[in-house]
Order: sequence, then C-alpha cells, then structure tokens
Amino acid sequence: MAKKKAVKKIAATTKPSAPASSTARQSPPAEARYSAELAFLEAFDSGMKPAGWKLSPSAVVTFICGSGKDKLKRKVAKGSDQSDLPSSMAISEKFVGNRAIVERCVVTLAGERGLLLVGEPGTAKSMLSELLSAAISGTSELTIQGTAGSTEDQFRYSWNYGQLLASGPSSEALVPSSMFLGMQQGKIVRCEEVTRCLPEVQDSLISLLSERRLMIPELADQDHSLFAVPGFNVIATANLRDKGVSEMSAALKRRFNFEVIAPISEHDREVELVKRQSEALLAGSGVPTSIDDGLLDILVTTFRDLRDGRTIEGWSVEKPGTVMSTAEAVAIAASIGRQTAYFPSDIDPLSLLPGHLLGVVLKDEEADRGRLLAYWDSVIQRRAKSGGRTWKRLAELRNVLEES
Amino acid sequence: MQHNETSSMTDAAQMPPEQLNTDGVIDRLYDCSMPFLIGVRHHSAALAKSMDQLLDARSPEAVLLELPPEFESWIPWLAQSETVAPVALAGCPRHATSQLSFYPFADFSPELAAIRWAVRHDVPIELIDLPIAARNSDSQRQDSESHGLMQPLLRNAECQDSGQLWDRQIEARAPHSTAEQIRKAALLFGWMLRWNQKKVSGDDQRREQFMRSCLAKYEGRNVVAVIGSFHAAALLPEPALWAPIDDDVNGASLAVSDEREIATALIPYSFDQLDERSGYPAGVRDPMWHQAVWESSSTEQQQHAIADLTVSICRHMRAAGHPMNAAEAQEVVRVAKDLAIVRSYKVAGRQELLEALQLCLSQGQVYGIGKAVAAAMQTVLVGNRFGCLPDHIPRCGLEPVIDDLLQRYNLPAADTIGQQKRMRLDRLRKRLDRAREIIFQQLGVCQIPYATAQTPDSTTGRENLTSVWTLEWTNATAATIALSASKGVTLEQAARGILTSRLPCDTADYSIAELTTFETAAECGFHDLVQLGLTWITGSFAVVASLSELVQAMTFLDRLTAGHIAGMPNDLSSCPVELCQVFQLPDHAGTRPLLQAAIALLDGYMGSEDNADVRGLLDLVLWYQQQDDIHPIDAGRLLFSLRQLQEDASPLMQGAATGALLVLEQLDQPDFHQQTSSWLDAAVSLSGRQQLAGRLQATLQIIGPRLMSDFGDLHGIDERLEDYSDRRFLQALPETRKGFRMLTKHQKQNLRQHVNDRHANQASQNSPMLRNQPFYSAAEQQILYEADQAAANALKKLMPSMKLLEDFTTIPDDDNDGGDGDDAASKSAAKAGQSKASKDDLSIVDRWRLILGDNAPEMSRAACRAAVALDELYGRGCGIDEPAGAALGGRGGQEQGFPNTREWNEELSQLFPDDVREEVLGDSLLQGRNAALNLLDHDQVRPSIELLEQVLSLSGSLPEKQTETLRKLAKRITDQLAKELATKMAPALTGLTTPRPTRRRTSKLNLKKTVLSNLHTARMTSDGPRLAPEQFYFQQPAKRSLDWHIIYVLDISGSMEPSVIYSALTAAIFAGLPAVSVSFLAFNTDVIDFTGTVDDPLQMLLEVNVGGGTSIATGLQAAREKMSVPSRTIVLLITDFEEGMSVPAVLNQVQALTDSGAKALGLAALSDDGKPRYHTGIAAQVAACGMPVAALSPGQLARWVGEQIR
Repeated sequence: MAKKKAVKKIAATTKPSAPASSTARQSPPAEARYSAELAFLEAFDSGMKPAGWKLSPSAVVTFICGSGKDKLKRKVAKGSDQSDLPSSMAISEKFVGNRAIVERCVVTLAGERGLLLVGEPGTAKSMLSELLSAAISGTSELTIQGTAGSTEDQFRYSWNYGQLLASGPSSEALVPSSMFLGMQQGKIVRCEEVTRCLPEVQDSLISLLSERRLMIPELADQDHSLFAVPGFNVIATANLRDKGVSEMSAALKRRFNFEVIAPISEHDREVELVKRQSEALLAGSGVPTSIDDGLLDILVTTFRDLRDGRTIEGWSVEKPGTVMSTAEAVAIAASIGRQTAYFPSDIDPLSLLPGHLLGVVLKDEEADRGRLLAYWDSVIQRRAKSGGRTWKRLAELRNVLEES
Repeated sequence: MQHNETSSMTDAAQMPPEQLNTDGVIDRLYDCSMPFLIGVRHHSAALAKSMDQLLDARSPEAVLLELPPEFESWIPWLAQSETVAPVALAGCPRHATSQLSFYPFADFSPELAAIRWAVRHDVPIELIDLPIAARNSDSQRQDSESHGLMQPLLRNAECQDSGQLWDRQIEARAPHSTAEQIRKAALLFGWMLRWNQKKVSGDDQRREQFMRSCLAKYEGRNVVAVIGSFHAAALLPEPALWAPIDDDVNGASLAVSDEREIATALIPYSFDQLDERSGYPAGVRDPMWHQAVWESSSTEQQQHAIADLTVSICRHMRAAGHPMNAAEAQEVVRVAKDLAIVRSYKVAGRQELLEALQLCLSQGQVYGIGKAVAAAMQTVLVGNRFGCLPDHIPRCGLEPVIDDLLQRYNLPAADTIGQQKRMRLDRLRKRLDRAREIIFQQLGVCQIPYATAQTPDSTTGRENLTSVWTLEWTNATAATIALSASKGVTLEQAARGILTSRLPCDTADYSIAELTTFETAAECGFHDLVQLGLTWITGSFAVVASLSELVQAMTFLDRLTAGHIAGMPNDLSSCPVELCQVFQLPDHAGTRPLLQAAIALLDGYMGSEDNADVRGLLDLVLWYQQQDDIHPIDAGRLLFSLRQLQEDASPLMQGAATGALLVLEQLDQPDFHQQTSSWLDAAVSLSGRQQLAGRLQATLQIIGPRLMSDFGDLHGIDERLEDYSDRRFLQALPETRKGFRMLTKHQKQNLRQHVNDRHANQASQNSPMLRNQPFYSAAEQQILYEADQAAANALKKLMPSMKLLEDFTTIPDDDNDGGDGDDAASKSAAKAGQSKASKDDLSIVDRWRLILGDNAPEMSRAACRAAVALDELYGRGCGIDEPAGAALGGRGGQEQGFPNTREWNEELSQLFPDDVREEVLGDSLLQGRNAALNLLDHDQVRPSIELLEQVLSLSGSLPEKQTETLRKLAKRITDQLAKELATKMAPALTGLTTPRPTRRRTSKLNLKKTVLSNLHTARMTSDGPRLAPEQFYFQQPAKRSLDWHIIYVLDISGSMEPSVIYSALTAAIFAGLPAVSVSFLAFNTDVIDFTGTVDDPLQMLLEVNVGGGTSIATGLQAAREKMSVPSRTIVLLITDFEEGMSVPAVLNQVQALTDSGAKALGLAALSDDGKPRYHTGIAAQVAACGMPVAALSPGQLARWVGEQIR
C-alpha cells in the first residue's frame, strides 16, 4: 500500500510540477512512477475533459483500473510530434476494487463538492487519492498531512515574517500553502487524515470549498482574494477506526461526497495484490525473491478470517481489536521474504508466520492473544484435521503464540 | 471499452461471441418467425414499453404466453380496465399448497403489456406453459454445472446476480435503443444464461417440451411467443442446446393430475409485496423506479423522474430531521447524470441513481444518516401502490384453500359454527397431528381466530411433547380470512408473508424480538426463514442478546436439532410432506457461538445486584449440564469467568458463581462448605451481613434444584448453625433468612425434611413442649400452649411486678443466663445430655426452622418469638414462588402478631443486637412498613449510598405526612454525601488556562513578545531600524468562555440505583460550576426532564421513579434535541446498556451524537466500587460508534469532564 508521505513543506519557489529528480527515491510519487502510462493516455484520450483536467474522466478511470487484457491502440496522426510514444500500451491495474468506486470518485471531482475517502486503515485510500490527483492534475504533490498540530496556515497561507516585518504585507512575503497553490494552478489538493486536524482548522475548508475563493485581507485590493482556477478540487481521506479525534462539522460534511473504501472482497485478488506488492517491496530493497504461494494463501486466509470474524467455511471467529488490513499482510509477507533472503538457512518460512501474526494482532489488548489462540485451536485445528499439510504444520506452531 | 463509440444494445462486446454463437444460433434466435420470439424477464420496463411497438409491427394472429393454461379464465379479468396493477396470479394443487406457482404483474410486466395489447386488438391469447397439474412435486431448481461464463461477466459488470446484470445490460441501455434492439438484447441475454448452464433441469425440459407441442398447432402461422428469454432457444424449430429428454423426466410428464384439483386465484397485490426484499416470490427491486421508467416516454421524462424521486427522498430525509435541501438533490442528480456519461449510457439508470444517493447523502456511514438515507430510499423507491380488482370477480384465494385444508385434515369447519372442540395432538410422532399443529400455527400467524393453544400446566419446566388445542369456527374466523386474502393466496404464503413483513429488510436492523418471529417461523415449517434466522442468531444476535435470551436461543437450536418443533421434523416418517420438509440443522449453526457470547457476557456481570442475572446464569448452567459435547475451550473459558466472578464480583454474583461451580462439579463439596461457612462467619459487621444475604440468595437459587435430592451441600452452613451461640446466630439470622427466601416451596419442604432427618435425635428431644408433654398430639399441644399464654398474659396484667418464667416473656440471653435465665427448657436440654453450652437455647432444628420461616409449635419459646418477629417482615415459611402468608392457612391463632410497629420494634430490640435491628427496620421500610421510618434514629444514621437508596425507594409509597420525616432524613444523608463528593471532585475541576504566547505556530503572531525577545537582532539601516527575528511567538487560540453544556442521560429502568444517586449528586456539583450548564434527562421508555431541579438533588431523587423498560435511543434522541452547540456539549449516558427496544436504533443515535461533534461518554456505572453491571456486547458496539464506555467513580468522572472542558 502507499506509504504515507511525510509532510512536505512547499516553499514558494518550488514548482510542484518540477520534473522528478534523478536521485533515487524510496517511494517515487505516482506521476513519476507511471509517467509513461500517463503520457500515453494523454495522447490517446479523445474524450471531453472538464476544465483544468489533463485527462477525460473515463481515461482517469482507465488509468486507475487498468485496461484489462487488451492493449489500447492510439490513433497516430502522420507526422505527429509525439512519435516517441508507443502506438499501443496496456495500462496496469493500480487499484484493486470496484470500478464503480473509481467512477464515482472521478465524477465527484468533476463537480462542486470535494471527495472524502473513508475506510479502515490500510485500504489504499491514500494511494487512490494519489493516483486520482496524478491522473487529473498531473501531480500528487499538493498534499496536506493532517495532524493534531496542523494549523490554519496549512490550509490557507502564512507569512515570511522577516519579510513581513521588513516591508509589510505583500505577495512576496506570503508563503502559500498547498491549498493556495492548488487553487492558484487549478489542481487537485489532497488532505490526508483530515479528521485528525482540530475542528476549527478543518472548518477553514468550508469557505474554500463553497466559495472557491481565498480571502487575504492583509493584501491590497487587487490581491486580496484568490479565486480558484477551474480544475481545483479537494480529496480528503479519513480513517473510520480512530474516529472521534475531532469529528467533522455538519457544514463541512455537506461540502464533501463520501466514498467508503472497503477491504478487498475477493480472496484471490487479495492474494494477488499481496504477492505483487510484497515482491515489489522486496525488489525495491534489493531482495528479488518470490514468496511461496502456499504461504501467501495461508497468510491472506488468516487475515480475512480474523478481519471478517467468519471463515470461508462459515465458522465464526472472535475478531481481534486490531485492524487486519491488507497493508499489514503485505508487510508480513515482505518481512518473511527478507528474513529468508538475508538469513538463508533451512528455516521454513511458514514457521515465521505465527510470530509475525502475533505482532500484528497484539497491539493494545492482551485479550487479543487469547482470540488468536482460540482461532488456532478452533479453525486451524479443524483445517489441519481435514487434511492440508501446511495447516497441520501451522497448527503445530501454536506454542509460538503462547511463548512470546 | 468506454473509449470505443457507445456500444449498441446488441453489441456483444461484453460477451465472448465466438463461444456463444455456435451454428449462428444467435441469428436464428433473432430471425425466427415461427414463432416470432420475444424473450422477456417478468419485470422489465424496457420490454413492457416496447411491447406494443413490437406487436404492432408483427400484427400476429395469436399471442402465445408462458403461463400455465389453468389461468385461462383469469386472462380477461387481467386485461379489464378496472383491474389496476399490481395484481398477482397464483395456482397450486389443492393438496399441496406449498407448491405454489405465483405470477405477480405490474404495469412494467411485459406479459401484462402483451395481454393488454392482445385484448385491445382482439387477438387470441394462448397459454402454452406446462399445466401446474403436470408439474413435478419436487421442482426445486438445482444449481447445475455451468460453463463459468457468468462469473467473469458478473465481475466485469460488478453485479451480484443475473438480475442486476439484466439491469445493466438491458434496462440501462434501453433509452438509446429501438424496440427491436431491446428484443435482440433480451434474447441474447437469455441465451447467454442458458448456454452458461450446462444442463437444463428436468422441470425446464418438460415445460419446454410442452411449449413446443403447443407451438406445433400454429405451424406456419404468424404468431408471437412472449416467453422467458431463457426458454427462447428451446422454441426454435431446431431447439438449441437440446439434449434428448431424460427418461425419468419423460415418464413423470405422463402423471398429469386432474385439472380440477388445481386451485387458481387472482389477487390484488402491492408494491410492498412486489419488492424483492419482501419475501414474496418473483419480485423486483424498487418497483417505484420501474414504474417511473415505464411511465416516462422519453429520456427527458426519465431525467425528470430521477429528479422527482431524488427530491422526494430529500423530503423524507428532512422529515427525519436531516437537513437536505435543493443543493443536495441537485448534486445527486448531477452525479447520477455524470456517472451515466462516464459509463456511456444516455440517461442514468437505477444503479446510477442509487450510487449517487449513497455518495452524496449518506456521508459514508452505515448508521446515523446512512440509515436515514436507506429508509428514505426504501420508502420512496418501493412505493405504496396497491392493486385493485374488478368488483364481480369470482371467489378465490385464501377462503377455498382454508376450507379445503380443514376438510382434508378432518378439522371442524364452517358448518360447525359455534361448537368448541378440544384436541390433544401427539405432534412429534403422528404425521397427521404434526400437520394439524402446523396449520394451527399458520392460522395463528395470520391472526385468524380458530385454534387456541392451552397453556400447559407444567411445573417441572420440562418441554411438553404433546399439545392441547381448543378449536372453534366463529363468524370472526370467516371475516378474518377474507381480510387476509391480499396477504397471499394460500395459508402458507399468507403466514410467510406476514412473518416476513415483521422482519426488517436489513438483517442489521433485527432486534431481539425477532427471535420469537423465527421460533414461530419454525413452528410454521418455513425452512428458508429459519435458515435466515439461524444465520442471524449465530451472528449478530449473539452480540446483543442477554444471557437469558442466549439460553433461549440455544434451547431453540437444541429443539431444532432434536426435531421437537412441529414444522421442523428431522425424520421423514413423521413429516407431513405436503406441508413441510425434513429439516437438518446445518453444520455452521451450532450453539457454540451463542455459548461463547454468553460466556463473554459474564464479564459484564461483575457488579450485578439483580436477581434476574442470577436466573440467567441458572438457565445457562442448567442448559450446560444437559450438553455432553462442549468444546474444551469454551468449557475452560466458562470456568475462568466463573472463577473470576467468584473472586471479586458483587456478593450476588459471587454467590451465583460459587453455586454454579459446585453444580458444574468444579468445586468440591468440602470447598463449598468452606465457602458458605466463611460467609456466615463474616456476618459480624454490617457489610458482612449484607453480603451474606446476597451470596446466599444467589447460591441457593443456583443449587436449589440439587437440594431436592441432596442436603450435603448445606452441611457447611449446618455445622456453623450448630456451633454458634444464640446471640451470634440471631445476629446473622435476618440476613440468612433473607437468603433462604429464594428457595421455592418444594425446595423448602424438601429441605425441612432433610434437616429433620439429619437431626432426628435432637428434633425429638429438643422441643420443650414435646419433652414436657410427650403424649400430647400437636393439636392438644396447641390448645395447652394457648391456654398457658392466655394465663400468663392475664397474670402479667394483674401483677406487673411478678416474675414469670421467661418461657413466656423474656428472651434467653448470654447475660442473664445465670439467674432466672436458667429456665426449664435449657435445664432439660442439659439433662438430655446436649453437648452444647446450656446458655444456647435454640436447638439446631429450631434454628433451621427460623431460617426457613417455619413457626412450628414445638419450637422453643425464644425461637417462636424470633420467628414471629421475622415473619412480620418476611412472611411465613413461603417459597419465592408463592405469595407471602400462604403458609399461614389453617394454623393461625397461636401468635398474636404485632398490632403496631412500636411493639414490634420493642420485640426486635430485645431479640436482636442494635445494629441488626436497624437493618431489619431498614428492610421493613423497603417492605412498605412505613411506620418504621420514625423509629430510625436520624442523627445516629451513618450516611451511605445504600441507606439513601432505601430511604429513597420509599418516597413514592409514603403518605404526605411522613414525607417530611423522610425528606429530613434524606436531606441529611444527601448533604453529607454531596459534601464528601464535592471535596473529592473539586481538585479535578479547578484551574483554567488563559491565553498566553506560545511557540506553537498558530494563525496569530504575538508581535509584542516576538519583538521583545528578538531585540538583540535589531540593526540600523539607512531607512530606519530593522529587526531580523530568530524566534517567533504566537498567540494561543483564545479560549472562549466556559459555556459548556453537560447533558446527563440517565437510565432509570432497573437496578441502577447507586448510579442514579451519584448522577444526581454529581450533576448538582457540575451545575454549581461557573459557566457550566447542566441538563438532566432520565429515561426508561419515556424521557423525563429534570433540568429544573438539578441543583436540588434530593428533590430530583424523590421524583425519580426507578423501573420500566429501557429505550436508550429515546434518551439519546432527547439529548440531541437539547444540544445547541454540539462542540461545547458533553453527553453522559449512564446505563447498563440492556437495551429493550432496538439496538440498531441506539447505534444510530450514538452515531448521530458523535457525528454532531459532541463529546459523549457512556457510563456503565457511576459508583465508588467500580464494579459495573452492563451488557458487554452492546457496550462494545456503542464504543465502536465513537462513544467510549467506562465505569467510573465520581472523582474519575470529574477528572474526565475537567479534561474535556479545559
């Protein structure tokens, strides 16, 4: 899953659309990672584009959900200057989930309201917002990371005080926020974890979203309000699990369309995703190993059982208090992969699983260990009895849970 | 795919054509002219709208319809102009009403459109489906093998089932297609379904064979066949995918039963029933939507219809209290339209509208506003249209069916009007009786007055295997049957429909009451409903149910497994197959999740003071004992919980857990003896005695059933009783007796027997009367005794100074045993060689009698007096299951009773130590002996929550005169408690912050501080001084004044008294804070606003009347209405979370509350001991909705509130 990026302070001079630097990055932004696909789609796209958008709505959906098995073929005009682009290309699937969700997101962004993605942690909300802004505005860098310490400055603007004191308020002394830049340039702005901000800070969004205009009372007449350029909109994300930090006001809620991102519903797709992402992670850290399919299957199965409180067979399981997200499964798969790669011995990767599982489950409640043990004693025992060599092996590893 | 030009209707891009189109079958379908094929789905606005155009173009000689020929006579009625859709055709064999063929028709049904066209154009209609009479009895369509074509298709279109897929592929594309294109798409869809299904089921094969034979008559003529699109391919001259008909299928087709045996009916129907979620067959989702589409003739009109529906949904939302106005509606319509564009549809379909509504209105919530949106959508999109039939339509439907049923099962029918008949049914063994029972149950569900069950006079609590019914046909019976006609066309369907309509659409909305519905469904033999119920019971029910309800559900499952429910037989030999089927409990529906939930509940019983919880635990233990295959994990978990309770729970729960452990054989008898005798030993202090009563009450309730056969459990108590001195015994007597009151009459009788057996020796020697006059019978003794007593009284009156034998006047006492205390009884006791010290006057048998509340004449005088004094309070010797005083019958007269409280009080003061006396008086206050109030010494009373509780509980029952006294007492206690509490809470609430400079970046720069602390950087430049600050200081966001609003929402439904008192007290303290306003709402099922009396806790407590049901949602709703500035509001919900109404409603309210931004806290208990009694499951759900739940002491609460406010 997309790792949340640290707060990025954008100085007035930095151009957000500046090309990706050549130095290696741990996690390049979406527009850099998929620059080839984006360029192709821009050339391919013949649909109607909302003002300020780089792609048409349906091309955005295709970019995120992929083009399926078929390659898209571009109509190449003779003597075109973009001849370096391939004439056909398959767009990869980046977001595993219903196409309808993405369609709704795109349609919302084309309208008057902001888009709020809610869901449990680890359901790829941040990744979806990154992809959407990369496809629509060509950049995902206009980001505000919401924390309890966020101030209104991050949603509006602040001042270079040295300059302010020296020469009074002027556009030069003004330090724009990501929001400011988004409005100025007509781009999508992302607000991560918006519910973590204090209510009064959140509420500064209300007037921005409804009037699409930012007042700067300190500046002189001609500059004292900034009107949003077409193409500006806001994607916010919020976690359902840690609600109540600061609840959004009703007025702000009415300025957003809410899209709930649920965990992946299909077992096979989740396995596929965990495999793909963990192997990408491993490759990124220079350990190009592949992870055993059987292990992945067991990992995802246990995660899904514990997340839903009900197994595939229909047995009910006590849900642990922690979130069993796909992202956690990816992390486990990757660290098992690393462990087997860095310490190559006869160690059976399966034997590492219970310890990792316990690490995920046991976070705030000691009772969760009991729940995991109960899961072991009921579900895994039963599966072990009805055959399944790996399940049998796993059942034998019960002592790991008790010891640590 | 959206990048290509809009795909036309017939474009098979979504379907792999090369696989499907073998032998050009698709083209053959399209082009077939004999007959001209119109493949339909029963409800399809697109096809219904194009039907006229298609038929006009063909102008056929006849229209062939896929309907059984039995309905022929109803067709003209269907087409009449007085018939208003929706209506339904139904038919079934008279002897098997469960095999119902059911065809609802709405305006948007293509078949109805075809019928209307044909009647209008005077074209004959032929019904070509297989007659109902020839259908197989077990015509369940099995899931046969498939080519796996559907899965990827459904996944691509993101649909759950073929119905949704039809919606996407045909309905949504209809606005930009011609009638012919729609027809082709529908045929293709049907062919795809058929091709996907490898083998056509036997039933379908026979129907198709019959249809083809009907077609043969029209060879070479211009006819149109309106049939299910699935069957279209079978009507080609050379049927596609046609396998040679199976032999058994062929053979069965010959068995055509008599056509007269088929009952048919045309009944009025409603959109409610037509909706797929209603449980009636052959429905469609959101009928109102389809109606709207059918009524709109252009895309503009459909656009308009969407706006119309959206606006009325918003209006419903407004009515439900959610601000939704034109702006919201506008956004919904915009999103729906744009979604359609992204998906290359010309106009938004149902899917787009639903998605837009969800996206724009429900704010990503399942509860709260999400529920409101769902409810509004339900109301608007399902609609409330009713069908209507012409006046002179022939009699049909329910009445003949019931007549027939009664006749067949030999039950009294209309001709026996006014005669009653009693019938005992051996329902589990005899097939006929089982059938009758099912019929009675179904009639009962339809509320048709006919059969009344006799309540069994079971004292054993065991399940009855037979049942007794009283049957009577009255005029009301006939009238109610006529009224129920629109509910269904057979008794079974009507009953099922009614039961289904009782259930909420969404399983998430089920409340506890649904358990009864499912039990009824089981009695009626509705397997599908029971399956649904089982899923729910083992799922969300388990989370919210109370212990007793869980046990009820487990017992229900056990009965299901055993086949003890009439409608759910588990073997074929006793199963009336025409009414129900054999039922096997599915594997996943074990009792295990319920047991686990029950065990988890025990953790919330720590602080329980309620006997109902003990009964719940007893139920669980009794159930548990009957099981022989409990999973070791669950067993271990149960024991763990019980041990925990035994260690540190409230006395009641300690006792209950100890008893339960004994019953479950997890505690040795010697250990149990240790426990119980240690409780008695502890009864030397006030708290020890109070605990004793609670512990004994609970333990005895749990082990009560064991006492019937085994006295051994009480040996511990017995030994202690024997050892104690009289004084020590009397000290513990009142509370012990209170504890033993919990036994039933039978149990007490048994116990007496056991005591007598064990102490047979002493019993015969110890009674002074018996010893002195060994030859008198009991009656004679009594006469003598009365004579003695009368004489003594007379003497006493005459000569007050005379000293009588204390047998009559005084009580044997440790202090005065030297002189006159050396009475005859104790002397003789000593003579009799009793081992105990002679000063102990009460024999062990008498002691037991005192405890059990017997007042036998053979008791010693002292015992008698103590007994009488206590009888006054507790009633005589009766068990918990009989009214007090019942045991007095026939034996009255020996004691005078106490004419007034003062006398009684004197007696008490002589008999019992002082502190015990106060407790007895306290108890008597509770029992309604108001006069005792005057006897309590106001100044001496030690203020405690418990005493205040007792005093307050009187408030309602006191006459005006005494209220003053009570008030005085209560005021003293309240004031003192409030003072103590205020000292505890004060530190947590003092100290407020003031705005000051901060280095945290905020919006306002504190220029003064910044300049001052950066002066060292000042430089003089050419145009004046310049500062180059290094450090910045900001203004902390200014605090608004402390205008906080605290709303108490207090549950006064049941055993919450300590919390009630503490709530009132803390509320008064909060109200005393500057700039904090307090509202106080008390609720059970209603809400009472005590805000006006918040600063006078006593007044408030006197007015609160604890009791009633629990509706937390109502309380929270009232709290929300009280809120003005949510972000400055604290809502304290004080309840045990035993919701009596609807848990989802509570969650809705909690969600709405937290969404509004108010700070909310759920208090499972507000008391000093911190042992809460609450429903863990519901509390967890509430917590998940954003309201933390805790049990706090007042001091902790103050701290929490202080943190929120500061």
